[in-house]
Amino acid sequence: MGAPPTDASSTDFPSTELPPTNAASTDAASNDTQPIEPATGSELTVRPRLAPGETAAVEERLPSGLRVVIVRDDTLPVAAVVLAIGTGTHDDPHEYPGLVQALAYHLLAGNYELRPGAALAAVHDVGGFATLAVGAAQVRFESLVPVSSLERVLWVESQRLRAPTVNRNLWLKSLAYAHDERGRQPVVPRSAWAAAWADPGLAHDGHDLGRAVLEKLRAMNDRQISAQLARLFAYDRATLIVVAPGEPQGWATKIRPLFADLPRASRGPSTVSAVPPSTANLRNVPVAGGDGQRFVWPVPARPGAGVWAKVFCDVLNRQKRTREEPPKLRVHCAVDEEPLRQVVLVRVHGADDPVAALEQRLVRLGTGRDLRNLDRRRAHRLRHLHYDLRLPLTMASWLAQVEPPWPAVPASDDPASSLVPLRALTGESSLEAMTSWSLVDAGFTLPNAWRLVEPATAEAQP
Amino acid sequence: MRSRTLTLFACLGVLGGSSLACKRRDTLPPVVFTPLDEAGDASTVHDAPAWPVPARAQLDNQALVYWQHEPESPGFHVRLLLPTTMPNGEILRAVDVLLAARTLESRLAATLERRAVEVALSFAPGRIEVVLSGPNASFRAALARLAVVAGTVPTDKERARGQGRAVKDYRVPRAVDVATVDVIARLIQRPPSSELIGREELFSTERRVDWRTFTDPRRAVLIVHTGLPADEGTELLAALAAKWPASRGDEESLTALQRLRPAWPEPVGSRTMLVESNVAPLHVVAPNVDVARGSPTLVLGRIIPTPTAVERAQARLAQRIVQEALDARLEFSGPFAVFLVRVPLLHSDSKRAVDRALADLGELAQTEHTRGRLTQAARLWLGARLVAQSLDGEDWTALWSESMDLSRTDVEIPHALAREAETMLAITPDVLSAWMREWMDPQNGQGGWTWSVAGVDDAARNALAELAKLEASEWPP
Repeated sequence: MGAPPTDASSTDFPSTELPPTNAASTDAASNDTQPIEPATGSELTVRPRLAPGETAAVEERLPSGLRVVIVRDDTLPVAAVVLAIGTGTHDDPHEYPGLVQALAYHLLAGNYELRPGAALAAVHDVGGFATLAVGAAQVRFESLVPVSSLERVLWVESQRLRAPTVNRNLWLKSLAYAHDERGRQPVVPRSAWAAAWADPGLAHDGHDLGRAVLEKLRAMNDRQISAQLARLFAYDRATLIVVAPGEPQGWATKIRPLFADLPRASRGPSTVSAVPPSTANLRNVPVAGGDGQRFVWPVPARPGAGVWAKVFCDVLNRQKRTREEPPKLRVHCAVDEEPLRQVVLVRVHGADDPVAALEQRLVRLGTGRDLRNLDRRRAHRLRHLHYDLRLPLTMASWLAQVEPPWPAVPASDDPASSLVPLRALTGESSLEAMTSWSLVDAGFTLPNAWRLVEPATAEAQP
Repeated sequence: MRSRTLTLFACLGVLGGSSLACKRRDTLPPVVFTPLDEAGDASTVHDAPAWPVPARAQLDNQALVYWQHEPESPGFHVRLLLPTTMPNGEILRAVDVLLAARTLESRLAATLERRAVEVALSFAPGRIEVVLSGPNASFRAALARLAVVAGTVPTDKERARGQGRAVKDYRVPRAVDVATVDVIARLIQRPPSSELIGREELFSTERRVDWRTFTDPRRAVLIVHTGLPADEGTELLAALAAKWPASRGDEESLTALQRLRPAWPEPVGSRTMLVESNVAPLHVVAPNVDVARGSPTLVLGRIIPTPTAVERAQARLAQRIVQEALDARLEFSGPFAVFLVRVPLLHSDSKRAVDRALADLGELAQTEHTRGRLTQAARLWLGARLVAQSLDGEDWTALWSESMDLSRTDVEIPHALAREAETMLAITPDVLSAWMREWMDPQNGQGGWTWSVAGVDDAARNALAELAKLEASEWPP
């Protein structure tokens, strides 16, 4: 069944184009745009090959555009299923913050195959566990069920986005549920977050359905709601992840027919999490209370990049103050793990020139004791990553939040063609391959950063 | 994690009473694994773990070890099980059990949490369980620390830390806890005041369990779930045995269930019911501990004999059916199970709430439920158990512990969950109906019911007096 076209006649409801994924720097005075140097793992833009004896996962793209990832886990007869859609609150139209959250809840209301609540009942009635996560750049439907019910749940996911039922009563119920969901707050001011990602959609809180917004959303008619659902929630911008006992190729042959009747994808896969290109110089972003002591970097969703960001923070937080540095200098680093929109925030206290102080700290990361610490922390995080991903739901959720730089192959009759090393998908391979100098390649340099300053300061300093 | 209600059962246990002359040796004695049985791997049944049958070994210090090997597992789980009855037959009070358990926990956590090893406690009928979980890199350190903690008496400071943990997590019991303990104590013929922990006795510094006896490896069962094959773990276990000596005494080899299963008292042949004739007196509990303010609760219960796997499956399925309408609980310990129903008395008309609960229970017991309903209830239970275990860390030792309560002998343990799943799904409506009429009908079935209520005021007391003769249940210290 084809997706209904966007209704251009809904004049009360302006359509919103997706923000460009590689927006130019908002620093208007800088015309020097330099693309980010690829990380040491640049060979990973090519699809990795499976070595003998290596644990494999299935990764393929169906004709409908749906990306499918299947991993084997035999520990218990349970299966984790995650349907992750590359749509988030950053896609909210400017006048309707909160729309994506409301629509995500509305997808629980069913369609012509699923009665309201049936998708959840398919999980709960067999003792399973289900969650819905609405993020800035991703919506995820997650479930964990006994493997005896996996086929039923896969069928539910194959129906979930098709022509959802839209009527006023169901819409009002969805709004009530969405209103109760507060979401998480970013560790950086939203304007800084938006600047770092060149994504204006991040500047608002898409989880806060205030009274004025609720009234507008309530006033939407069925055609408007259907049009937005079709535009934003489609299989060609989704990934289905399955972690289950048994051969992954076996599950792949069961999954493909479920989506075979969907129309072929009309657009190529989007890279929602591509980091904007850097410039020659540190950029400023005006925020209320900006004191010039905070610096933000975007972190791409490449496999391993998020863990590498944590390694960066681990070492930065453990650096000892040198005699040349101001006596009260403190540097603190934290990672905000919003899926597909991660950032690193570094605070520099006690320095007259925070930029110079931070620059010195970054230079030190590549030398001496800090260099050795980088390797130690990298090894430590790598060991724990392997352990942390032992549970099927954790693994499925993790895989939903990474975007490999290589293309997924079209599903074919050759089972071997769709196999990739699991360690490449989880990021363990790239973490092993990276050297300490990759820190620079990974983008943690000042030209890639945004400095939070007072609005007056930003105006004075182009 | 087992329900706190069953802290009660932590005081039950049976021990064969053996001793071992411990000899110091210059070389570590070998650890020899033997197969648990010749039946091979547990059959593959949906909704039950398909795990290989573990290897078993009795260490030089008489500790019994079950080794569950999962190839390529990135982490480990080690579960130490200790009975809560001392060799002389003394059944430990709940407070003593809790303090000893918390001391174990804090001594282990002090070192192991730095190595990313989680330390957790669990309580089951007649035993405590200390669980260590972490990445493979910490496995050796976990076993080494376990040996030291189990094999050495804690210092006063360590005991104080354990007590501090217990005090920090202490929650004043509610009426439902008090009523539940009263019912269970009557069913298993134990003094209720020994089964519920009061704040004053928790703060007492005089309570001390004989550590060496409590952690005697001759009483202990160790379950290991790891990616390491059993034969590669023998050196680690030999070192563990060397650091964790047994007390002096006769050598005797007991199975896991013999070490850990509580001694169930023979049912006293009660014929009491809850409706119409031969109605059991309703005990109004006046405990010797502080009770949190809140709604009064009535708890009714009975012991159900479950000597076979089929009867255990029937009991579980029946409880799941009843739980759709009432707050019904069931806890197994091999040949017996305790069945409880909690009835919150939220409204002013307490009698009506109880009448309705009894009527619902009776109706459920008398109804022949459809095959579809039975299958749905079974699948929900079996699925939820697996999903919960997956969310909690996919710890095979936890499932092993649950399997023990479903088994009569050690050989049955690896297959118990699969057998339960198969049996539950095969139960027919007429068979279950007959079983429920016998054991779950508070008016017409088998006698042996008892009930207690806590937190009631005078008005509720007067209303409940219309149901049954009221008897005060005062807990002596």
